[in-house]
Amino acid sequence: MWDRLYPYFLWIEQTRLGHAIRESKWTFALAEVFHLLGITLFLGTILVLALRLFDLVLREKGVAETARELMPWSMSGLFLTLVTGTLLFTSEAVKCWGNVAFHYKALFLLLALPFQFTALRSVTRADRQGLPPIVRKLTALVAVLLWFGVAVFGRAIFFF
Amino acid sequence: MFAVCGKVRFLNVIATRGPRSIFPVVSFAIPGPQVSIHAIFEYIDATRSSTALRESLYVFPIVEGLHVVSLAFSVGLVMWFDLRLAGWILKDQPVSAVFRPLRPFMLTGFAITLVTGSLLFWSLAMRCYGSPFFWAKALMLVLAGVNIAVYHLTIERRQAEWNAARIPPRQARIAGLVALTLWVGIIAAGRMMAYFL
Repeated sequence: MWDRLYPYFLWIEQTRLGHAIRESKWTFALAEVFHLLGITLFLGTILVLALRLFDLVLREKGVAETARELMPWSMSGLFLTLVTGTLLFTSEAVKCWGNVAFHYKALFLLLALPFQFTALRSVTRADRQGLPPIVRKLTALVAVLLWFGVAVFGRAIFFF
Repeated sequence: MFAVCGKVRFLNVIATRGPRSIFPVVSFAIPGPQVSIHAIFEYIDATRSSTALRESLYVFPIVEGLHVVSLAFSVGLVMWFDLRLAGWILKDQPVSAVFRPLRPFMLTGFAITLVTGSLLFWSLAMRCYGSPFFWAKALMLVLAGVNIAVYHLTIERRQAEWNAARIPPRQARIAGLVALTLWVGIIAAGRMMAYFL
């Protein structure tokens, strides 16, 4: 599958945008900085949400209410991470193409994104219906594992 | 080198300008043997443990990975407390209800961040010495510590009075915003160290 994708990765890297980011040390470094800030913000909200679903924090406040209040922060973090991540990817798409860590990161990302917007979202919204705790906890755990998987393999790209 | 390091008192340490450092020359007019920060960093960099860590195939990436991932537990969690102090979120919850349950997790996170960060510094001491971003990060870490100490010693003493307030008093709000700003700066400077060493 990856062989077939090569031309697309090559094309992405050769776009003007990719070229510009690659050639500018500052742009790349700043994109990395905002990528990391976005990750911290987003993973922080995922953690708090997971701890809430485990009934470990903010017990006085409903799950749905907590999620609603965290939503703007988590979505800003995710947006910042995705935008800067796309810029970084554009500048070194071919390197990513041949990088095992990137393959795993892509896999985890492709699982985490839909999970975030289907399972996790419906569980956090189904506050009043009283889902069994095991469902809430499992959903929280899977979301945390998926997103931390993305982060860990993202960090690992550099070392492969 | 080690013998000199072991003998001197802390205040006798002087900072001298290294080959690629923006760190200014600061010296203390205290009699006794003088040791420069440059020499201390050089000593750390030359230790066997530093070299071993720097050149290790697996340990260094694992330490670095842990340093980054633990950020989500340390800064990623303390930021909710800071935002609550600033009066921006969870206003219907008492400040203590936001802080207390998060504390064990964020303290674990900070412990991991601190230990892995110290190991990274130990393995790259000389590269840190030459990096303006390292010194900026070090300065901001000190300021963050001062900010926390000031908060605990002053406004937190009267927390019972404003614990449930939707908007905490100005001094608490400032402490929260200063902490948030410093964490952003610390993360940014830390990331930049990889590019401008």
